[in-house]
Amino acid sequence: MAQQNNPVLPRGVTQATFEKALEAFRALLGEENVLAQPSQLTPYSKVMMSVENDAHAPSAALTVSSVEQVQGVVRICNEHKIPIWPISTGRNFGYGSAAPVQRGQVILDLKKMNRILKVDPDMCYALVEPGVTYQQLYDYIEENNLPLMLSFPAPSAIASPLGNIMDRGVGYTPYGEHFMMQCGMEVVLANGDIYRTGMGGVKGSNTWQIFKWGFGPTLDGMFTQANYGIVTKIGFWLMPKPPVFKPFEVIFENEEDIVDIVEMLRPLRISGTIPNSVVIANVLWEAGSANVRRQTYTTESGHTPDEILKKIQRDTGMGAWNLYAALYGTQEQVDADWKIVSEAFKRLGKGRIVTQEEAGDKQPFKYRAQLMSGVPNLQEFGLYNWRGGGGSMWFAPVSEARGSECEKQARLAKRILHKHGLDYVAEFIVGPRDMHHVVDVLFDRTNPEETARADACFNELLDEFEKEGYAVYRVNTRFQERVARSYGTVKRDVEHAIKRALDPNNILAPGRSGIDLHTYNKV
Amino acid sequence: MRWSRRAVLKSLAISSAGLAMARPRGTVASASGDGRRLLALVNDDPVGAAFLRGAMAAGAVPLQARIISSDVQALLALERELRQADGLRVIGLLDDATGTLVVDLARGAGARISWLAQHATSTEGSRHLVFDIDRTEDRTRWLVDHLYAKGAGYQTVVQRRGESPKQWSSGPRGAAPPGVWPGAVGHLLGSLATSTRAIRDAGSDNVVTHDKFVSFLIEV
Repeated sequence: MAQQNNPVLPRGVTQATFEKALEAFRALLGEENVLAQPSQLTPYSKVMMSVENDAHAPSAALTVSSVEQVQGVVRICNEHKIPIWPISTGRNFGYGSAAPVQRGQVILDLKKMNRILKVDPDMCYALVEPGVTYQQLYDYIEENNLPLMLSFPAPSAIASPLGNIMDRGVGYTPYGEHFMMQCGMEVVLANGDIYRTGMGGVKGSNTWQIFKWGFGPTLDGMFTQANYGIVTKIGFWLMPKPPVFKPFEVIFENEEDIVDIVEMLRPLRISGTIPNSVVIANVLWEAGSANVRRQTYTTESGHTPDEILKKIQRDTGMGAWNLYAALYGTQEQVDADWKIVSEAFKRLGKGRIVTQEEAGDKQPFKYRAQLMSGVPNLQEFGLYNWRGGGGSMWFAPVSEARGSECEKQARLAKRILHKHGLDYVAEFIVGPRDMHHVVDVLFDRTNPEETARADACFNELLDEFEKEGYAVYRVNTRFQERVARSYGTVKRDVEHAIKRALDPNNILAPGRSGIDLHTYNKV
Repeated sequence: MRWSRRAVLKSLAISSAGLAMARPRGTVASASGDGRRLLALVNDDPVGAAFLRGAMAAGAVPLQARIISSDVQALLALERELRQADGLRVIGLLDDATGTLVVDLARGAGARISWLAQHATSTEGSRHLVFDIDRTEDRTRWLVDHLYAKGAGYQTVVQRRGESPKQWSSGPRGAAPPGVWPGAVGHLLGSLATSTRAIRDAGSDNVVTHDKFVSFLIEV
């Protein structure tokens, strides 16, 4: 059905051209896969950022079922200069939902490409399409009784492995650095060519998901957080399911304990004694995840005072910082590692260890243990009820895994958030040498004044952290152009040179990570 | 199966003090206009009960009510239901976490969303952020008029694709009850779901809450 006077059009595209493109899409994909009615687009338009939904409204959405259809879409987009915004499942939430980076882009929804192409229990890898969810993969592994374990982010059940890897997301198991575990991808380029990375270009190769590097330049990383191609298949390694899994929590009473926690933890992470991506969650992250609501303690606007945070600690037994980690292996291995780890905490002289036996089914221990053992759940969405109102933007600066640095970042973030009347809801995800300091900037979108404060707050967080030499590793679509500037002009020049070479018509997600041939001017 | 007041009461009584106390008033089951099943999703709390009463008062029957939370299995079952349904409308008023997930799963299932809004109660009344989708401005105006008639304070912002937002607001008058909006939203969505043109009185349930909610009408 033809759309008349669509109120949202792609940048620089006339109504007439847009109609022609829609007709071409319908001819290629069928009427039911070209979505242009408002009620069809609303599910793609809901954002959690500090702007109106309309600022990121798509002009249409397409659903495709095959690589050939993706190639056909790219051909039509080149012909009519239509920018497209590919999504796998579009469930990045605080890092941006399904809505495009720029108003008017056509969403290319890959959810119907949802085949698990291969799971190899001997070589321990999977090859999947974009629409496969972690829950789908988990069910497959369970149904086939495969001795494998998944690693995923908190929206585990409904998120896509491909989407998370392409955004360089993290999980909570020893395989928690997800892009590090990626091996081989298939990419539809802007000219319609199909490029397979690593060993994937070798006819008859059976090592595409075995050996990452192949021959010559290795380009996988170039396609992550980028707009140089549409990834239609991805391979990644899976951890063998260990015979013994021992999750534990260590509860720390005071905010300043973060220094000692990290100093004690770093050698255990670098040596691999604690093998998984450890989480250190602050009291509000912990409380929100356990469905504690702010209104139970106060209905005053502004940030939640420290006295209330202490009261929450007293009421719930939560710490100012709550560390979650796990040990994996045979009983002998776990016993030996547990002795090292528990003695290290004892030597620290602070922190209360809680084991699974002690915690039972209590939240948030239960969902943390599930995340660390590859069992999907949605418990962490409770964060969205802490303050409520639908606003969530994850501010995620990278930090050295050094106590003084973590404390400095925590203090800086808290000061800025409080200045804007918002709460410091944060966790550190601990790699061997780095920490992802993830702050959930939660705000009430029904309140325009609070929404404006959240926007100003996020900008100030970016500015003030940059002054200290910090930058985020990932950000929602509202702030991608801003963050790209933090990384310097040479990097941006290179990125745009690649864009010009691979996508001269600028049809693939222009604006993604600040890469846009229309707007970027070399300084 | 003919859903009736008895069935709704049965669903309302699911192990909940809040909902067990709910008593829909003066509603009579009648045949649904187009034969599509109508499902209402609510939390296990008095807000959910008020929403259901409002929906039923609008003639949104037969109505199947379901209490839902962000439990993963319940939500994945709902997604499967949406994916497999042939003629289903889902209205709801849910906490932010669950509402966010339901709306997202609706997209995954290929459903349409004909109404989407966020709601909050403040000391001055209530706040509503409405995403106007299918020119439902008359329904939003009804909500505003209803709150005004009850003396309740409100701040309502309507965002529509391609247009500047519209805003209506009014302070509370007298000893106005701030919590009449859940019933009114239920009434509004009940009438939208059943294409009831004539909107009746949504009642005056006053639910004390400081939580925040998402309301929606999903269609497959």
